[in-house]
Amino acid sequence: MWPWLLQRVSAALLLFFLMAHLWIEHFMHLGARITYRSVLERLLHGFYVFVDAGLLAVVVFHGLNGLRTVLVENTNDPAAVRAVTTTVWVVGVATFVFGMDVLSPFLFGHPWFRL
Amino acid sequence: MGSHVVFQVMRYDPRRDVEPYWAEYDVPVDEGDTVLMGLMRIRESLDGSLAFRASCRSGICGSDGMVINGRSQLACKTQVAAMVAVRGRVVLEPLRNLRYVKDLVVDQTPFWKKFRRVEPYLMPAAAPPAAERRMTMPQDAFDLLSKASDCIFCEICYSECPINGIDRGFLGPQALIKAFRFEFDPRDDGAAARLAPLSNVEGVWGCRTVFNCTDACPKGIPITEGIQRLKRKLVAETLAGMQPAYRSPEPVEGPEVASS
Amino acid sequence: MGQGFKVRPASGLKRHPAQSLATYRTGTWAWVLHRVSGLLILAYLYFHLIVLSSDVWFKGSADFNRVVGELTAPPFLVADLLLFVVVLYHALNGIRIMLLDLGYGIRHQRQVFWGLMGVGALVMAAASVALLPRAHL
Repeated sequence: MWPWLLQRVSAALLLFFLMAHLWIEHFMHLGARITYRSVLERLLHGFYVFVDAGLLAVVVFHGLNGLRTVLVENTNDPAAVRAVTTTVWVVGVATFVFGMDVLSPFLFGHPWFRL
Repeated sequence: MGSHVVFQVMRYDPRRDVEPYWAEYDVPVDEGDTVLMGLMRIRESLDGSLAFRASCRSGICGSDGMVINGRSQLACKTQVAAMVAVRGRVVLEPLRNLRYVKDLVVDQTPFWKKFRRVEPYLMPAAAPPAAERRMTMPQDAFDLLSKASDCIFCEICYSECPINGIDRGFLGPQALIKAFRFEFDPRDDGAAARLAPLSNVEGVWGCRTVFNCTDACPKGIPITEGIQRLKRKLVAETLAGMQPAYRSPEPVEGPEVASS
Repeated sequence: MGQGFKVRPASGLKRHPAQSLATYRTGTWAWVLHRVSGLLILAYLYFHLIVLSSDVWFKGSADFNRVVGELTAPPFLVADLLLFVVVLYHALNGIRIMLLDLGYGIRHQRQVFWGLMGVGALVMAAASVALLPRAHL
């Protein structure tokens, strides 16, 4: 039940986050030139960072939970299902850390894992 | 005063044939004939070796489900003229998602096993009433469940459901609508026993609301609607079960049950 | 016996038939397209993160501005719009799925589907009008 229910909950959250993300990135600054500086200033805004970090967490869960559903659909072997679930969780956490690293210069002033 | 219609039938006898093949029969049909009438004419006068299941000829026994011109339907409820109007002939195959036995007959064993998995019988909530009393149910509960009780076990929903096609373990629409029929019966107390088979990716969570079962059901049972109700019931019960108050319920004063 | 019929081999027939296209109705198409669009969006998510994490993102504004200039060229804007179609379909059909799960519109699932697709066409038209002029930045 939980994969099914959380897929719906994350879908509802996604509707909010994705609309905010698309609105901020594509429609709020229509016509303005996109430059390194303008994006940097945009991302320094706390609400934008909240939207992007929230979107990242929810979209990674929703996407990989969906992928897991597809992968385990025609297997009845509990061990295979467990293996897929574990793999997907590891990939998901790694993706989230990777995504936060992309955002990190704007959150902490410097990248997490970049030399 | 009839005309001749081509019946293209999938033939396969695993003991004799390497693989299935088509047989084409020129069948004399009268106006208003059903596909089942044509099949019986084939067996009576053209080819006595053709195997198919049929019994009551009036859509009650659920024996003659087969794939007619691509869709699973009851042969006794399908007009030859309607099929000819679309495709010029009648093309017959056995039901999908089940093993072939011979010609149009399939092995129903998995279907019945899955049906039994959901414990499809009433588990009374109270002690049975005295001999002269009946276990009645409220009118609104009857209205909710009466369509689901019309199931004739024809396996057409099982054959049309794409989830049954990709997941051999999925219980299928018929088992789930039968579970609905008992889970929503106010006299029933079997929720705990049915939790394991139902709250499972092979149970209700495997349903992807494709609606093929509802579209195909020859008895017009709103199958998907029942499965959706089951999902919401399981979610509500699980979330309520997480609250401590639910774990130690107050003893409820029930109506006195007469004992003989 | 045997006079009124003929027999022909049919190697295309399978012993254990899978679903054929004949079983595909509105709900089946909605399901299959939902799955395909979901996998496409997941692939795009990784593409998106990798592009953003590339050196261009962090090194020198000159590089960044050049890449942005390239990405707003017409071919990429068309790709953007195609991506938008895929995301929009997934979102609208997802809304349909959640409505069905909440118990709304089950008896009218076809109308709900096509109604939402109509909404999608309108949103798509509006988005195209808003986004395409940026090709001439």
